Amino acid sequence: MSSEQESRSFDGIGKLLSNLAVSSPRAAYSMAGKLGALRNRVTRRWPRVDEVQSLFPLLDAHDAANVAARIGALYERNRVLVRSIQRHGIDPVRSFVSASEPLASMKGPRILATFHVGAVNALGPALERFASPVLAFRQGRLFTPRGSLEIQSTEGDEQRRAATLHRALLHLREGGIVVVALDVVPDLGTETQCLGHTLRLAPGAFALARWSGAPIIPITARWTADGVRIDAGEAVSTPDEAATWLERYLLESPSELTLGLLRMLLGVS
Amino acid sequence: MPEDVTVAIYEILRARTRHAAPTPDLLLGRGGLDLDSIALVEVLLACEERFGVSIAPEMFEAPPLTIGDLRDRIEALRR
Repeated sequence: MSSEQESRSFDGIGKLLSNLAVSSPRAAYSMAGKLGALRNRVTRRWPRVDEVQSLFPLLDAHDAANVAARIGALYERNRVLVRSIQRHGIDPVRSFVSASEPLASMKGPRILATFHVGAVNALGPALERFASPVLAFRQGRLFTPRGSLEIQSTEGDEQRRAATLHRALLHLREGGIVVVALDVVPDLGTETQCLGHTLRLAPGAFALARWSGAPIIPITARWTADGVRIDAGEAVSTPDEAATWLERYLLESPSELTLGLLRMLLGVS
Repeated sequence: MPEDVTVAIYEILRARTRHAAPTPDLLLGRGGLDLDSIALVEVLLACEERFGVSIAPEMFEAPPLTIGDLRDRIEALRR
């Protein structure tokens, strides 16, 4: 089987799973995970074992291969999730995403910081159920939110981004919660180190914290047997602290690393 | 005597840019002072504090702002 045929076969199954995810999400995402792991084992890429070892040098070849397969599983689950949201909307996802109680009842002002780990695209439905109004920023719109959640785009020039930052500041001053992605900044950004590699973090969250006095709390979304669970970490106040927090999280759970973040850390496109 | 808004804005900007001679027609962002988004908000916050006004976020949603535009907004808010 050629590489193109193989890619088409896996993609075709992935598309079927994104349809199945509407009626039987647990089965669909479980199968997506198995598909992603199989794809990784067969193709020996997305990611390669040596890429995993470059970030986690203490893993031997066997363990690194297992982590690579689990990252492949995460990639396929997330791909099916995004495709399912694009095709069928967010409603089916709302049923299997939950947030820990301290997080869901959290009051503002708070800045919740996300990284591209785990099921990052499943955060939205949990944020809709927060007690305080939530203003989330993301590149492009994936779904129309409801409840206490409002989503704004981060796209645009510096002046447009200044408007976005100013809105976020006013939201915090009114006691709201702001959600921003800290990582996967293409060129600009504050340079830090994570897993022995350069990690550029978006400076906006740290500026907001400085202006408003609101703490920055890292949050993560993790696939579980029952769906997706959202949890909060300890507060961070500087880019270096945020990078250290992320490094610790990934050292404890290397298979939560997404391909996007892995490629950014390794400097590959 | 009321403070000259233009002179005060120049003072605020001087702390954030190395531009030798800012003029009212100079853009705050790209192609002018090249202030990034964080610096733009810091200028806005400094102006709010200095002049005791509250500037709406819509100001940055307008076409590219010049120093003169910022001065006009502040003067309108002070009236």
